[in-house]
Amino acid sequence: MPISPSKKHRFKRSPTVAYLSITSLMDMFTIILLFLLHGFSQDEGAFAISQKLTLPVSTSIEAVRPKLTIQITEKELIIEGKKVSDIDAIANEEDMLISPLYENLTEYAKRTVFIASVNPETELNREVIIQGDKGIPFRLLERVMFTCGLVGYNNISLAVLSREG
Amino acid sequence: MARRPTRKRHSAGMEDLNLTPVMNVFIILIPFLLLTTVFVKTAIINVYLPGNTPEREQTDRANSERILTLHMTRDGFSFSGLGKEIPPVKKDNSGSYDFGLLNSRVAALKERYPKHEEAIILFAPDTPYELVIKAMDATREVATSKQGKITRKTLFPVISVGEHTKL
Repeated sequence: MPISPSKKHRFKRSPTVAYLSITSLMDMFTIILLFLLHGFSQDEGAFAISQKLTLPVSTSIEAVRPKLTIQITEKELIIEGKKVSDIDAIANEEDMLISPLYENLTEYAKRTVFIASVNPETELNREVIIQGDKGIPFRLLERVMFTCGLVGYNNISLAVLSREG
Repeated sequence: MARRPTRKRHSAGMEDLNLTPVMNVFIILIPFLLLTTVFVKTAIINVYLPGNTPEREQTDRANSERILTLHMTRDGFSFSGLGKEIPPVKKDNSGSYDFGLLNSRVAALKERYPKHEEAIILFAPDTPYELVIKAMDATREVATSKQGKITRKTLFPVISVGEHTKL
């Protein structure tokens, strides 16, 4: 003989209403949101990495400060996003000086001096960041650094991807 | 006669906070932040042009024998100046540069001369930039891990680079 469910049991089952509990989901989202906002606020000093080049990886953890940016890709030489010259056109020159770069850098230097003369609060900094593709030869890097030095940009930093450890 | 609300119904009323709009906001915000967050960290390495090293190093410059000079050649690394007693670091069996051995040799030299901070690295003109950075890293600092903790020790952070004549 089958045993019928007890009255008590039947009563318990009938008023069940399924509530979707999203409180835990909310907790999770809040944590993710805080994490992402934290990361977002830390990136202020970072520069935009151009799609045209791959930076070399380094163990350096020194933070990036905004400075005049020179990009050396495998095909082009770029200052502050503006193309200065093709690499092919300057690669085989014997001279250490890269004239198109020299002319452009002089313009930027003049601008910095002018800004500093108008607004004394501005710090006259002659700093430059070189973002070079990891495949470029040392000779090219050296020529860019030499040209920077001639114009007066003596504080040169090399941009790298940080690999901690 | 008015009935007193049961305990069960009361508690159900308290849970009725509508979180759906907040969820909607979160669902929009999270993909936006994920798109804008940069997960790759960038850093810089300072390079010094001759004549532009920090003041404390100026005295060293007068005597090149007291500056570590590293030559990166086709066969490996050779040393002169401060590191002239260090044996050359040859390429490893697979034909690639042995940056690990270079790092430990430079670290050993730093222990003998703890006050020296300047180094000159000379490269061949066709050395790829990636290897330039690796050689600079090996000269700049040493990282040791003890029980999962990584400690960094600065070696010769004031690096000047140059091109060497063919060796």
